[in-house]
Amino acid sequence: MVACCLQYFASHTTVLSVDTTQLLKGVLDLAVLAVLREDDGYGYDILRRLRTAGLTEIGDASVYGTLRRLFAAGYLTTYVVPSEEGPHRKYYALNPAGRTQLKQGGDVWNGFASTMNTLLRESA
Amino acid sequence: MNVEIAQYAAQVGAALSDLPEQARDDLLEDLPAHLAEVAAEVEAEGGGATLTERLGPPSAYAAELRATLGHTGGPSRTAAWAGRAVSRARTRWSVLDRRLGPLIGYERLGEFLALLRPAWWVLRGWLAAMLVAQLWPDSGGIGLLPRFEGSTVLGLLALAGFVVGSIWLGRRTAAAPPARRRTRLALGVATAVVVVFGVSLWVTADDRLTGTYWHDVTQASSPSSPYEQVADIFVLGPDGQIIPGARLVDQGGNPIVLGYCAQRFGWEGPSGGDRGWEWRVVYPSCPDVSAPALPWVPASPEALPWGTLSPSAGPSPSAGPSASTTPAASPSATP
Repeated sequence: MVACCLQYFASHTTVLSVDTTQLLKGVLDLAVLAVLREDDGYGYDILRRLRTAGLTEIGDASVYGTLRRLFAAGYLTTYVVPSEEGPHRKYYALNPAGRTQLKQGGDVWNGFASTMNTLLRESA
Repeated sequence: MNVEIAQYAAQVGAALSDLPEQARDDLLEDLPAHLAEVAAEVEAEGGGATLTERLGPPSAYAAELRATLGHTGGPSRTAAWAGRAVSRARTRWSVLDRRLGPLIGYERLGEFLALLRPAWWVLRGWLAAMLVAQLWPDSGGIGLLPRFEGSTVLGLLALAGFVVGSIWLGRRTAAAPPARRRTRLALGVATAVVVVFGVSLWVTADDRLTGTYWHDVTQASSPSSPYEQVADIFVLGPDGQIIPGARLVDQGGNPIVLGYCAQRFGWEGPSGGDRGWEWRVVYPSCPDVSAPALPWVPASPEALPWGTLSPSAGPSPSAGPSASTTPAASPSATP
């Protein structure tokens, strides 16, 4: 999952400014899985949680696309909850495979992040 | 609004027309419903009036969607297997659903089962009340009504409370399943406990009603009770002679009532089942059972390997009341 970012950095040697949008691409799956760890959520609710957590640049299409893909990959289950006002809400929930993926992805991320932190401390 | 959503979704789809059909369909399948959901939310928050104002132009939305493609590898084999198993089970259920429904005059079996939900809520309330009554300290035997502290009135009040609570819960969860995973998990576990309790309650009640309950009790006790065939007891003294009017007590000082005649004494004896009638039982207790011939009784029995208890002061058999006289005074329960 993080391999993309490594490739990204490796192949773009001239990148000087790292923007959040680019970084986010690699870890969006992990971020979405993480906000579903405790509670199930519907699309816009998940977007709101991500933004509240500090990922303010995330767009709705990113969340929707990621949810669809995680669902197709067998990491999420869904159910529809009728809403009193407005359209029904489709809730997404982690299944055991999703939890495993979150755990593994989290481990990879932690390893990657600590490597990056070490590198950045050395270069500072 | 719906037209606007359909148009927006179509424009997003058009912008993604170069994608493989399968991937595109997977991506777009849910888009109109999702857009409707988001539009309602943004509107509630006081966002823009049109979808484009809320979400940006369809082309930008499509570009963002495209960017999310292909970050995850395929599902793990177990996840894929589990997913297929779930969808197979769903397919099978839906076939069964449509096939069994018409047998009872419904389009789908699920329709009929949905009608039964309120009945389940009531049943669940009753079962929960029964369960709590059973777990209550000082609970008596199990019946068909919950009882607290032996009070039927309290039990009925509790029953009403549980049934109303269960109906409330049922209506609430039917309208909107709890979003919190832990709440749903707790509800599921509680339901499982209630169902298991209900099944065991049902089996118990069935056993009792058919009489096998009592049968089972006798059956169960017979292998461990060598005294089932005992009609009467003859107590022999150290001299090998029958002691008339003897009484038996256990290690706790409680009178032992053994044999058919001794037990019959309980309801047919002179005191007619008064408290403490057990103390009035003397052995031999059957008027019409003659003493057995005892040619084999050793004159002086040997001590048991672990030693015999020295009899403490108690009702002395040497006083020799005849079998017909009942002892007047009840000996103290503590030896």
